[in-house]
Amino acid sequence: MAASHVPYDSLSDAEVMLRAGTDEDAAFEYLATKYHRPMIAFMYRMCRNQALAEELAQEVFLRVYRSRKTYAAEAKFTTWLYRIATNLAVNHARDHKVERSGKVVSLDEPDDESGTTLDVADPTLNVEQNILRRERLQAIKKHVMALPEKQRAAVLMHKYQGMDYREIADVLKLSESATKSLLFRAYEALRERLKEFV
Amino acid sequence: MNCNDVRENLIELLTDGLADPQTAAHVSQCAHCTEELASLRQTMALMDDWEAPEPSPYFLTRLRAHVKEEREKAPAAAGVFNWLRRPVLAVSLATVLAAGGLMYRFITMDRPAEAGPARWQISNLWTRTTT
Ligand SMILES: [Zn+2]
Repeated sequence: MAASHVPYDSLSDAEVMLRAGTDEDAAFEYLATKYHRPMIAFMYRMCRNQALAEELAQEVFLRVYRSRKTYAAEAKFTTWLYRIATNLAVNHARDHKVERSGKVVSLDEPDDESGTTLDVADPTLNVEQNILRRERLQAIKKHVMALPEKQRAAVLMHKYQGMDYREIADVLKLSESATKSLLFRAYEALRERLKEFV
Repeated sequence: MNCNDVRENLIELLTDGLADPQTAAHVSQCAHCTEELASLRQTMALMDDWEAPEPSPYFLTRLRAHVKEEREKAPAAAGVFNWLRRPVLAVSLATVLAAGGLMYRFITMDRPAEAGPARWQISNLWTRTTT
């Protein structure tokens, strides 16, 4: 904040981004710090792999940085950010489709490709309950992953990123009613496929 | 209004409770929609189980290193030395150096992805899969 003395949190993200465009480094730093956590979480749920999620999130912020001088503030900063992220995640998934489709995904699968031990056993549950919990989690991941890309991105933004219809519609460049319909289809599919766990 | 008219409004009713009054009125009188609403609510609650991992502690450090690389590619930018003088960054760079080979591997891994702009724009993103 050396450059301006204006606290960034008193500005909109779009205004901060415009400052980043004038090579005010602290402005970019502020946005990256503010959004890296939700961005990594979004990418993680898009690709189910923590290491890859971080790589993709790095690339998202680098693209933001590279575009800092041409950012036009026509959309909310987060709309622009998530549009970059969704494009990147979908492109990546397409590039690696063969790899992925060759892989048999089942509920018995230990976990995602990351090898992380995020699903550590809950000590308050007994063995059977922990097994059930694990199966439930695997099913959630599997069925979210199985949604068509656009539905998956929409559900993740809605459920986990706290975004409303309007903003999701802007990110995906859809009408609000198309977005509503898309989200309903996605949740309806998940409801059907996760029935046994509720 | 019948069930089909309100179905797509159920998510809104669940998440912000501000779906249009007609939807709420229908649901309050329709056993089928009440059941569907409850079921969707359970599904959404179930999804809370899926937590995302914490970011690695080096994420921002690595990003700063990438940004620095980016800047050095464009020497016209004036602020490079200001950026370098920032104590936070100096510490960060030291961390990067300390992390040594591992960081180097990460950074080089990123390079191919940096070549060229995104091939897909969201506007045409979905056309390929829509059949
Ligand atoms: Zn009904």
